[in-house]
Amino acid sequence: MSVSVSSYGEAEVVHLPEKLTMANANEIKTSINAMIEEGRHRLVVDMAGVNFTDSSGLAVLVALYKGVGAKNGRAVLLSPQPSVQSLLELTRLQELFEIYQDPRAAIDRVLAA
Amino acid sequence: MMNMQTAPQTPWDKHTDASALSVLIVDDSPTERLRITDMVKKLGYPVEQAVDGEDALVKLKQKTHRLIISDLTMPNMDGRELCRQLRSSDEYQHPYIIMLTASDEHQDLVAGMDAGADDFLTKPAHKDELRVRLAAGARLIGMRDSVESQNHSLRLANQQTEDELALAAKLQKEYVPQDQWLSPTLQLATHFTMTRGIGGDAMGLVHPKPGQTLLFQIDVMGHGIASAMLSFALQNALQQMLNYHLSQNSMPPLHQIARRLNERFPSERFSGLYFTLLLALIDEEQDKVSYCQAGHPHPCVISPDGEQIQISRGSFPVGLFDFADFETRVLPFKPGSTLMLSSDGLFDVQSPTGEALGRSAIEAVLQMAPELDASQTRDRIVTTKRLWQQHQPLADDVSILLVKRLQNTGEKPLTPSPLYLSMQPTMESVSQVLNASEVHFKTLNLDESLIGRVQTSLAELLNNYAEHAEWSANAIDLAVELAITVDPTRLRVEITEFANPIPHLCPPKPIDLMAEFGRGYHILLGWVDNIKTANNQGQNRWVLDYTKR
Repeated sequence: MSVSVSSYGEAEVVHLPEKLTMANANEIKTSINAMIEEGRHRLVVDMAGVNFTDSSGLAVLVALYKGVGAKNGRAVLLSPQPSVQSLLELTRLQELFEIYQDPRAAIDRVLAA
Repeated sequence: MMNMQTAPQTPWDKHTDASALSVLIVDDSPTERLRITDMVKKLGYPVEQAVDGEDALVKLKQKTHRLIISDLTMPNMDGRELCRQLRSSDEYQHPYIIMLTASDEHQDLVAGMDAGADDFLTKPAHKDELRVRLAAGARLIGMRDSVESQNHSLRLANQQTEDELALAAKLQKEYVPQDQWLSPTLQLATHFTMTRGIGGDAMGLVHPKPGQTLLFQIDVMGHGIASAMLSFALQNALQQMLNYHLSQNSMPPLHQIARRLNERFPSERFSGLYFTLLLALIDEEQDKVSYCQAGHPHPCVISPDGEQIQISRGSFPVGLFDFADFETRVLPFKPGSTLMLSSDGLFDVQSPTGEALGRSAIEAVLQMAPELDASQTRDRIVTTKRLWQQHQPLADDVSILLVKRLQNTGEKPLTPSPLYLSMQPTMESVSQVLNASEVHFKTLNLDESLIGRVQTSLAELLNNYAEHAEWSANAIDLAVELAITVDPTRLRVEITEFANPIPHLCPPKPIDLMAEFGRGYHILLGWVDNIKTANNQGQNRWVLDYTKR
């Protein structure tokens, strides 16, 4: 699997890979969806390692946003790099997610939900 | 028939049916030959005989034998030479060769196997041994045939898929707007490269009123066949929608068109596929362009003085959220302005080291847009992309719509269209450029001697660039443009060097042809009637005039 997950109590930190594209997006989407289905829906999406993403990568974030929303959970983004940040702005996805730079604050936020 | 097949029967066992394979028996001793012939016949194989290697080759030219039993020591042509001959040509269909040896011929046996024999039998051959050796050969032939036939089917299937993709790509290209004049002062240049021949980008245009042009560009998530199918459907749906509004003479605001597509194409219905969209309406009367951007890269608008308007506010892509709202924004678009719409694939083009080209590099190229026409600017962008990408395959589809609004009153001639080429100076591209110019000259009906002079001098000049580029480390940072125009009295070739404007590459050193060229410059004078050169900011520009005689 291309994502690794660390758990902090009920919060899950999902670490996304360096490149998030058509080549791996479906696999990642499937594994995140499975997590959400299991009831693990307090997610911190760690974007710090992602240096390139495209439309398929954005689809992963959108699926995650919708999946978590349906379960009344919460997802926030952690430390997106500038190129990813500008893509989030271009597509207004930054309005759907709270974006954190500090992992502790991000985890606290999803736990509080 | 043999009885040694193991169940279940695999496809490569089919040749163990002995009657399907014939055996050629090669031996100079009539007794030995007849003895083996008799045994092999009894095993069920059709048999033919040859008296030595030469005779065997003659027989094999008349009839194919897939199994050969040959003596090693023979007059005229021995078993080793026969093996060598059979292995050196495809003509004999790579028969399975069993070498017959006397027990004291150990060294010769090794040599025979080296020459290409598959197996050996020690004389006198026993019936059972002969049976299993032949069966092993038959099995191997069967296996090889089966693999070959599977390969053949795969190749066929693959070819069929490739052919269909190529056909689909051709269809998709048919829908791409060509370079054209949208109005007497509005010039369009386009570019369309899909990663798999077909792809998820689509574009089109309509004219709502005289003086107005509405352009659209669509980029469906992902790339490849599924994306292409949705983009095709979208293009048709949008085109129909626009045509309907044209017929009703009431074009709705752009954001309403986006909203309607958002309702009609929710990603849930299309396996999660969504798309980004840019709609742009150029209004020449009002000197403005209105646009609606939906997750798509912002349009680039370059004013006549080279200024670029920076847009920061984004917008949702289409199909993802039913609550998405879209808006129509307006920018000035005066004569002399340039508008570029492109899919994000352009900015995401990767260098061999995995770095994305980025928007700033393209904006650097666009700074020159006020001086150039639409196709020239487009070509510079495409060249920049190619310089960046080098031999890397494209990661995403790239499409570009580039519109130049000329200063009023046709200060540029609309016809004849000049030949315009840009190239990186390599030997290969020199010959491509020469071929393209030759084709162009034929359409212009120029006389042979003029074409000859132009071609010879161009070859001289461009080859110098290429030779220089081959040993110059910064060659990839440099491209050369050619513009060829013809009027009633002369033909003019303008050659401009331009440097790759990608900022993080080291600043290119232009080639000083005057210095490099030396003797060649004087040779040029023999063919060209007038040469002007200029050096602007370290970049050379050549104007070569050829008078028609």
